[in-house]
Amino acid sequence: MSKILGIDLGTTNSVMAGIIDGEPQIIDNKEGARITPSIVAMNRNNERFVGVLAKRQQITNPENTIFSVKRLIGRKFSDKEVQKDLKLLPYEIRESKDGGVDVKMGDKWYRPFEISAMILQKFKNDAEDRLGEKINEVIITCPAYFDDSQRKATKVAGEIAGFKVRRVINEPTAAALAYGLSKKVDQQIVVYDFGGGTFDISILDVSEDTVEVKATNGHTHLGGDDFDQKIIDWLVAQFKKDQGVDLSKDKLALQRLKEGAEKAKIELSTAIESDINLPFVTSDSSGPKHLTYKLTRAQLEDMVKEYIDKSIDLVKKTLKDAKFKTSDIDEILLVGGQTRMPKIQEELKNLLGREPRKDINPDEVVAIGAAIQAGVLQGDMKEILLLDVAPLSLGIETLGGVNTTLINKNTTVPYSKKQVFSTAGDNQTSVQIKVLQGERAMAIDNKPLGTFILDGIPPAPRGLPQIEVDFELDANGILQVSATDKGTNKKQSIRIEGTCGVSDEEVERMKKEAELHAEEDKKKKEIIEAKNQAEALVFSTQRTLIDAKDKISEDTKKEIEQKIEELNKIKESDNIEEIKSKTQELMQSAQKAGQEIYQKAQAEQKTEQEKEAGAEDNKEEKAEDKKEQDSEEGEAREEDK
Amino acid sequence: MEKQNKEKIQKDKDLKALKQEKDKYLAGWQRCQADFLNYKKAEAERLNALVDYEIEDWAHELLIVIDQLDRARQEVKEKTSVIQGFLQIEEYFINFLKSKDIKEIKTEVGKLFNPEIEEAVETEEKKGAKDGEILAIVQKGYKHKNKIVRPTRVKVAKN
Repeated sequence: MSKILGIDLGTTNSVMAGIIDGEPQIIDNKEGARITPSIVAMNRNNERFVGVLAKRQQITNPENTIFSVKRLIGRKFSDKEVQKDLKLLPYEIRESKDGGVDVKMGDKWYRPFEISAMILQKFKNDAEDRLGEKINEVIITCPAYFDDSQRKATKVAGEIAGFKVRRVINEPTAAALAYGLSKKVDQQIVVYDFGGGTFDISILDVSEDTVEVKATNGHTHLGGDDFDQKIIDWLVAQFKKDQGVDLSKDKLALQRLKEGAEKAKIELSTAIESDINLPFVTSDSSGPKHLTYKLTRAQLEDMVKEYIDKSIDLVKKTLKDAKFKTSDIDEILLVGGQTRMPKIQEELKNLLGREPRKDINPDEVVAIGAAIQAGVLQGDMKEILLLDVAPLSLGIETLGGVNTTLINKNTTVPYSKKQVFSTAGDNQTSVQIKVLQGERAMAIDNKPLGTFILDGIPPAPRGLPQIEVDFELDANGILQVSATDKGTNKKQSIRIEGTCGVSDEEVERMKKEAELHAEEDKKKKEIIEAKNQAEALVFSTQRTLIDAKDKISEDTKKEIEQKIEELNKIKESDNIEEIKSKTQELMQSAQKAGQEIYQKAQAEQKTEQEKEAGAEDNKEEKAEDKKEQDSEEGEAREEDK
Repeated sequence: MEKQNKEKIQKDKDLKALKQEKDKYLAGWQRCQADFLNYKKAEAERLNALVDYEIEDWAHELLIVIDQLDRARQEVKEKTSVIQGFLQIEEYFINFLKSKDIKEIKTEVGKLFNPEIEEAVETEEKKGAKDGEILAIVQKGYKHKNKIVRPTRVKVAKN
């Protein structure tokens, strides 16, 4: 089955998306851009341009460059909106024979849906080029307020472009689909859509199998471009005041102001202050003039307050129309680039008492939603081989009751992971492998899945045996854990079934708990780690005291013994600061001992050197060996028991 | 004898079924391998595209600096050695962009305006000029490989 394209056919810009490798993705147009201006033009040689090319030639050919045709599609010529737009649009518009609208481009009159069809056709061609396959079907989005005739016209546009139009879906519904909200029953969603030239607000009610638009309002001539204009006006006024030059008369300067204003506006979504810096913006008899102003976020918010207030009033009105209280709203979705403005998000939060969702690019969310709907229709979203994931992390218990994770949650199965562990005590001949499931840092807080013992490990100093633990999680969620002593190749294993069979509720509960306890767990883990470190240090220092007893002075030996005693006492407590500081103290004393050992060794070497040249290498090597061994033990993370 | 025959037939049947099963699994495994290799290739392509996007993104910002140096040059009346030095900075930037495969678009005054590579920002009636003829270059355009980073901005005759 061929792909179905999802298209957000906007007033100013359009975006297309499709399901690629099982994921909804934006598809670049031929020019390599994710967004295509909804503009069509015809030049004198009857060459047709669509998208950015049409935009580039717009001012040379304004009477034959058709933009914002979405304002006219499916409308009657006598409509109030059409009459209003008539005065604003630079191209010719007349009443068609059936009372609809005709627009003139080149020598011919077209119906608005024919113009939209040209945009959709470009998308079809570009998508086929990009994906290397024929695309025959499409889902197109339209505003929630579109009536039957506007929807019909949108559908016809798709058909003229050569598509079979599977659905025309509401833009706010598409946004909800993109956020995966169509599955959660009994939800009321506010979709706040502040685009480049239009503002729409809709309230959705999601029930068992429908997404119903409860109420919708909007403003057909309010958008991000108005915000830019406010900044431009301000810059022009400032410059006139400071330099006495009116930049609004200078087309080229105005172009640069526009770019500067837009850049500043975007910057102020993340920064508190933005520099608008346009050197050589114009010149007069006295020479070149430079523009440089600082615009703060607060200033911008003040400039556009009326627009934001207007939009918030419309949200209130829509709530009233839908007969909802602010507390009824479960989600707020942001659509359109202008919603990146922090002030807008803040006002919405103040009104509706919750954080708006903005994790999906607001310029692309509608197209993504259309692609998801397409995916559902073509079965892509279900058809893909159902690969399960491990719902919770899997690990084993290690020294000090710590949960050491081997397989992280959300890992796609089948999957296997090996890790080498060692023993915690000298001459330890067996290890206990305790398999755990969960996200918590301490073993005791996770679900134990099973335990087994690997014995027959030859006696050896702690940290020396190598025990390889192998986790194998197969496609059915069956976990096989084995432990192998690499010295003897002795192996033990356990098979645990149904690890993926934890109920969803349980998964949710455990995830929530993990979040709640993350901080507490971190502390616990830190304490254990500090204790382990202390213990390892005590152990290795004690061994040094025995091994090198004749190389360490009595004073140092006493000091170390005292410090060990202190540390042993404190390490049973949970006072992490104290443990750390005592560990530090012992380390310093141990270093002193180390110095003494080396000094002594060097002194011995010197005397021996005089006697016998060959003995020197041997000693040094020995000393090195010792050092290496000690540090290894300090780090080793061992299996308990 | 008959019993043996029956057993043999059954064994053959089993063997055939097992072979079929084996072939099916082998095919599935091979497809999975192929899918993975294809995915890796697609991912590598995606990564390259992402790098290109990144380059174009910051090139955009850098080009503004070059524009401004360009404007400054046009205003320079007398080239002192200090100014000469400053203008050499522009050269440095341009060479740097070239090394990243970002090159100036060749636009010529007098030729016909082409929206594929140019953007009209102003029009002017001019006697003797053809309609759509480029009258002046307002801002240089650049491309990265074959993609337009920024079209050349031009003034176009409208008669």
